[in-house]
Amino acid sequence: MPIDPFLGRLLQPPPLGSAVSEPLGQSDAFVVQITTCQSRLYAYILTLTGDREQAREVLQETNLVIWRKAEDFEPGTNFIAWVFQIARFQVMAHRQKIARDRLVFDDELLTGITDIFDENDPYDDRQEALSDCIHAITPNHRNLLNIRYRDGLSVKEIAQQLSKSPNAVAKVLHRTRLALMKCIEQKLSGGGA
Amino acid sequence: MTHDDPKKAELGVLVAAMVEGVLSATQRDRLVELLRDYDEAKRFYQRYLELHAMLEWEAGAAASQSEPADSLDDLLLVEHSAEAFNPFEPAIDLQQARATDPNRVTRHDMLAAGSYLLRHTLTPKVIASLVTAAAVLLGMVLTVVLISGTEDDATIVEDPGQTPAPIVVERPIEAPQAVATLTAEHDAVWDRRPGQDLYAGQRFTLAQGFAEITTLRGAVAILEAPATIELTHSPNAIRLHAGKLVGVCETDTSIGFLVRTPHTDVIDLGTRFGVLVDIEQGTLAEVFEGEVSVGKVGHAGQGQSSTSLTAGQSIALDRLGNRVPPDQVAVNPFGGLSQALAGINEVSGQALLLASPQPYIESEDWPKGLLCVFEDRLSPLNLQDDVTVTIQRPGHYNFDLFEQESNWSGVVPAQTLVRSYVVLLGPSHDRDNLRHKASIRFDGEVLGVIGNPRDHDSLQEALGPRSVGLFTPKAVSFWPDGGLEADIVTLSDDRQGLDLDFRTGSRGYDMIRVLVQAKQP
Repeated sequence: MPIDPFLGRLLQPPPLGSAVSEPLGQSDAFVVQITTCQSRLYAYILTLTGDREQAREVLQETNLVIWRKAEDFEPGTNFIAWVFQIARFQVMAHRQKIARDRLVFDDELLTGITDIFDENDPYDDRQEALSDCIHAITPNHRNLLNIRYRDGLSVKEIAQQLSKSPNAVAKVLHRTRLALMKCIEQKLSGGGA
Repeated sequence: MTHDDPKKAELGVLVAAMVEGVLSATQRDRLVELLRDYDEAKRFYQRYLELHAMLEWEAGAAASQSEPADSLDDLLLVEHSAEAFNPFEPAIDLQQARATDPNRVTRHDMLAAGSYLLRHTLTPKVIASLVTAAAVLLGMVLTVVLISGTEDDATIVEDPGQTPAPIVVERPIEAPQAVATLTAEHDAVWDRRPGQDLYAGQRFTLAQGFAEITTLRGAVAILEAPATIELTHSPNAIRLHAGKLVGVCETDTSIGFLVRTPHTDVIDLGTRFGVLVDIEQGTLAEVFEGEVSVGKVGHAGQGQSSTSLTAGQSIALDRLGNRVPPDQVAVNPFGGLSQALAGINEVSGQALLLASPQPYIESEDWPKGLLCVFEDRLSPLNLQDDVTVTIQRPGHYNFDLFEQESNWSGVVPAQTLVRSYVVLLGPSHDRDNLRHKASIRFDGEVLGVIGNPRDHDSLQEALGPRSVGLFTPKAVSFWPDGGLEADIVTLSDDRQGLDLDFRTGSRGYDMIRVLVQAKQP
C-alpha cells in the first residue's frame, strides 16, 4: 500500500553506520496501533488542514512525535484520542510556519471543526463499508476513482485526456463521492447500497 | 441547513473544489462562512474529507489496473441530474463481488500482512533501530514525497486575483512545546481542563467563567470570559486576541511577562495589571501594583516609543495605537477581579476561587478598587454543620472583626442551602478620611454575616471541602491589625441589603462573609 508511508519506512533497514539507540519501550502492540491508525490520522489531519500536501507533511511530523512520546502513552487509554491530540498540536505548529493566506480556516473555525470529531466514531466500520460501496459502483465510475486517486491525476489532467471540461470531470467525481457517502451511511444504518 | 437547502449544494461544490485543489480565495471565504454558521455543514465537510482521505488510502490497496481513460467517455457525456445520478450497478452481489475479485486487497489483508511482519521481524531491539532509521529517513522521504507530488493546477472556477502564496520559512517545530499550564478555573466553559499543559500555537476561547494560566516562567494570567488567547513560543508571553486578562508577576523569572494584543504590547516590570482588548475599539491597560511598559506591537519597553505606567495609572490605545482620551475610557473595567487580587498574597491556584460578583454594590465612597464582593468557589452548598453568625436580624451591629464577637449572634442550621459571599474591604491609606461607607444588595435573604475568625473557621468546616474557601492560612495578613473605632454593619429591613460603615485606616484588609439563602435548584 503506497500510502502507508510510516510502516513502509519502518520496515526499511537502517542506513549503514547509523546509530542504534536503546530500545524505546515501544511494544509490538504500539507499532500495530500506529500503523492501523494511519488512514484515520491522515483523514483527521486532512480535514483540519484542507490541503493534501500540508496534511502529508503534518502526518510525517505527527508520526515522529508519536514515536518520541511513545512512553507517555498509557496503555488502556484511548489511543486515537492521544494521537489526535498530538496531530492537533502539529497542525497548529504547522500553521505557524506557513503563510496565513495558505490557511483555509482561522483558528476559531479550526477549533469548531475539531469539536466535530468523535474519537469513538466507528471509523473502521466506515472504511469497510467504503470498500463494499466502491465495489458496488459501475466499472466506469470505479475507473474514474482509480485514475483520480490511484494514478493521482488531477481533474484537469483527466479532462485533457478525455477532451472534456474540468468542470464535467469534477462534477462526476463529486457526485460519485456523494453517492459513496450515502452508501456508507446506509450500510452503517443497516440498509443496503 | 436542511437537506434540500441550496446552501448544502453550494457547500458540496465548495468542498469538492477544495479537495480538487482549485478552491479560489473567494470560494474559500464562502466555505469558511458556511462552515462557521452551520454545524451540519461542519459535519458534512468532515465526512466528505474523511471519504476523500479514505479513497486516497484505499487507492493504494486496489490492485486492479484501471482501464484506459477513454473508456470513461460515456460517463462524462451524460449530464446527470443530482437525483438521477446513480453510479451503483444494479443488483450487484457484494459478497459475490468480493469473492470473485482476486485482485481485491482489503484493509484487513493489509493489516494482517503488517501484523505478520511485525510479529516475525520486529523484536524490541530491531524496533529501536528501525525507529532511529525512521527518524533519519523521514526527512529524506518527505523530500521525495514533496518532489514527486502531483502538481494539481486545474482551475475549474477562474479567479484571476489568486496568486501563489509565499512560503514563510521559520524554525522547524519538532514537537509540541508546553509553554504554560492551566492552573485553575472557575465556572469555565471551554475545552480545557485544570492541570493541562498548554502548547505554543494553541488558541483558546473562554466562553464563560474564569481561567488561570501560569506560564513556564511563573507569570499568572487570569482570564475573564469572553476571552480569546493564544500561546506563543515564548515561555513568558500570551497573546490576548479579545477579552480581559489580569496579569500577576510575583516571581523574578516572570518579570518581563508580555501580553501582546492586536494593537499593543504590555510588558510587566514586576506587578499586577489588567489588559482589556476590544477588537473594534482597541486596548486598555491598567496597573494595580508596580509598573508596566506599554507600546505598539514590538515597541513596548523601548524608550521613547513606549509608555511606563505605575499603580493606579491606565492607558487606552485605539486600533491604530493612538491614545484614547481618558473620558472615553470605561471606568473600572476589570471589576472586582483586580480588586481582590490586590489583596491576595498568594495567587496561583487561589485567584480562580473568585467568581463574578453577583451582589450589586449599590453605592460606595470607598477608594477605587478597595471594596469587592465575591461568591465562594463551590457555592451554593448545603451546610454540613451549624454555623454561628454574628448578624442574623435587621439592625446595626458593631464589628470588631479581630477580637470580639458582635453584640448579637445566631445560628444558621445545617442542611441550609446557602450562597457564601466574601466582602473584602481594603485600606484607604487616607489619613484625612478614615471611614468609608457602602451599600450592597444581594439576590436573596441574608441569613447571617460572619466577621469573627472563629466563625469563619466553623463556616469552612460546615461548607465541607476545605478548598471551598477563598483564602489559604497564609492569608492572615488580610486581617485587620486592630482599630480604635468600630466597624458597623447594618442589615436592612428586607434582609437583602447590607450597609457598611468601616474604619479603613488600618493597613490590612477587612473581610466579612455573608451567607445568603440560596434558591432551590
